[in-house]
Amino acid sequence: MFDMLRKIWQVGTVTEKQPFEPAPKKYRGKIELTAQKNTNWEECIAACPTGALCMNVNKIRLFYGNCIQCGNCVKICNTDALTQTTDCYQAVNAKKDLFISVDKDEEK
Amino acid sequence: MDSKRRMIKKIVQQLGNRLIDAKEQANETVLHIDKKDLPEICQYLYQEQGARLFTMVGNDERQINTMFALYYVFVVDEIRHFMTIKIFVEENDPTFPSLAAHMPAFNWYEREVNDLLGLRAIGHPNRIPLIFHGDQMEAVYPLRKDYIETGMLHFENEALHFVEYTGADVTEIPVGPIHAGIIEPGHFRFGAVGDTVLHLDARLFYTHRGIEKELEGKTLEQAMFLIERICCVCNVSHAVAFAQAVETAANVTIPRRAAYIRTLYMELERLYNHVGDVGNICAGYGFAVGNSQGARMRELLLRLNEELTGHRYLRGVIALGGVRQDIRKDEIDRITNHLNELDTDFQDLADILLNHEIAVDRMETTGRLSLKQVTELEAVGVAARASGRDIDCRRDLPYAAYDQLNFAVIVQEEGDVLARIKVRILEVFNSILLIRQILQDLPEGDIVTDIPKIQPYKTSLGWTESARGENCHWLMVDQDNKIYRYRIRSAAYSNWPVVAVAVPGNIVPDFPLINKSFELCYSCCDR
Ligand code: SF4
Repeated sequence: MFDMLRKIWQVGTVTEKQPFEPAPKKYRGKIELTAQKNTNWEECIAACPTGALCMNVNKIRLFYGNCIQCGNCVKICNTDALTQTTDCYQAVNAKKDLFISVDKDEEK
Repeated sequence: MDSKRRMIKKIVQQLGNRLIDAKEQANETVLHIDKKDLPEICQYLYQEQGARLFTMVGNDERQINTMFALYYVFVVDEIRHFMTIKIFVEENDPTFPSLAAHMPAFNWYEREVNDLLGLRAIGHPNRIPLIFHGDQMEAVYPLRKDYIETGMLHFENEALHFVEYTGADVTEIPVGPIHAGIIEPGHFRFGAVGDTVLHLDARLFYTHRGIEKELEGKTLEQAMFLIERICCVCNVSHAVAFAQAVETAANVTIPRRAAYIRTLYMELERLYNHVGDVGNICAGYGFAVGNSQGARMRELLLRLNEELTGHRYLRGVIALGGVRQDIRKDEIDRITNHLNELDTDFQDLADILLNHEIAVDRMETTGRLSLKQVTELEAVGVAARASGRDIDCRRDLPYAAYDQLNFAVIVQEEGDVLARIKVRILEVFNSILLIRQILQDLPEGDIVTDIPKIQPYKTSLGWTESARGENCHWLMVDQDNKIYRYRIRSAAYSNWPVVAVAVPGNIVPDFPLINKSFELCYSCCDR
């Protein structure tokens, strides 16, 4: 009995209040997509295991609903068009908000 | 080495002219026989050679050689060698002799090939659907290559496959598939007399997602991401088993540093699982202190994982031919410090738990399994070791860096909930020791090698000991280096049948406790 109480006392309160600390540096979070000229889009798309990243006529589309944040596309990309952040808050109100797209040859 | 050759030779001789063809590869001998000789030869391997069932695979090989094939993979732990019995089943006579009546472990496997491939086991004592819930309106077999996906399949006789009780004193209690807690779906039906369970029927496979089918035609790199997601808490074990199957097929050895780092991640996985499970078992009898202390320690371990690899459940750390994530010097110190803290912290929890009279009273003699039961049903992992079945494929069939590390395999005799929790507690300390050894001996060098193209239609095996027991993966690739057939036999698949055996004789309120003491996963059983 006493060892139980001692443990409870020693540990204290461990629940935390929001806002939490940011995710660790290595955390693979939300992918950001920006338009950049001369990006090797074909290779990026081929590297994507889930088909979240795809090309539609002249648009590059990313569907967050399918993205598993593996970072393959970022690794293979020759420009900074695709970057991986440590953002882990990705809930949206409607499914359409999960689609983003940029023009293939446009400069931002 | 010599005893191995001798034993294989003896088995081949015993088969005599019943052997159609024998093939040797890596650590496996594939013996092709006629299907009518199957029962006799399997029984010979099983009973006289001490082989145990590893997995059984049904494969639609009509495109290769116009027939279906069944592979019965046995392992002889003594010589660390696999003996695979291969039979062909013709399309116009899709039957094969059943072994389930003599070896109950085959029960599920044979029903599964019936559901998914339409191969009937003749003489099976109870050939009700396993994966499908009900009888099919028209014959559709998803794992056949000519299967066309049409969306929903239609079934009839939904609820008829349960044991019916005729006595007036037996109360039927249905539980699930939707449960009060946030757990996976499974339907349990108790026949209870008063408070005591007479019989338990479990119906699983609600989360069957067709992963094996989905994997067909995927490249090996794509497949890795799906295989990591078979279940949530054995990610590294499944990923490593897959990587090993590929590496065996391609005949490559991974760099030593990669092998050590893989072992490290696997032990980290075991650690957070076991620590969490010990806490979870406390929830089975409402012991809140144990439950929340376990949850707290598990959370700290998950955060450690996230810091080390970027993922709380260690996804995306294993690559084909090595690992994707290296370990830096400062991270090694971070792990060491964390383990030092965990060591005393967890010891406190173990002391509280094992010295608590009421807790021990609830766990002792509850959900008892005998050695005979676990051996006959081929249970693996913690459930098997708690009942005295001394198997652990980290020692018996070493992979990654386990053959260079020292560790003891924990075995208990009683086979009750208390024995299972004790095995887990001791394995936690074992894992801590293992991780310390790994960090001390961590060799320098590369962390990944290239995988060459794999010879088409060659089969290979990969296996790991997850926190729940051994996972076994079976792989065959086609000419384009894509997956032709993939079979996943997880620890939960082997262990669910023993849960139904452990419960009868106990009181109904003990069921959650017994279930938690196995801590089985539904999704990697259902796939
Ligand atoms: S992170 Fe992975 S899944 Fe997401 S878009 Fe990039 S490659 Fe595809």
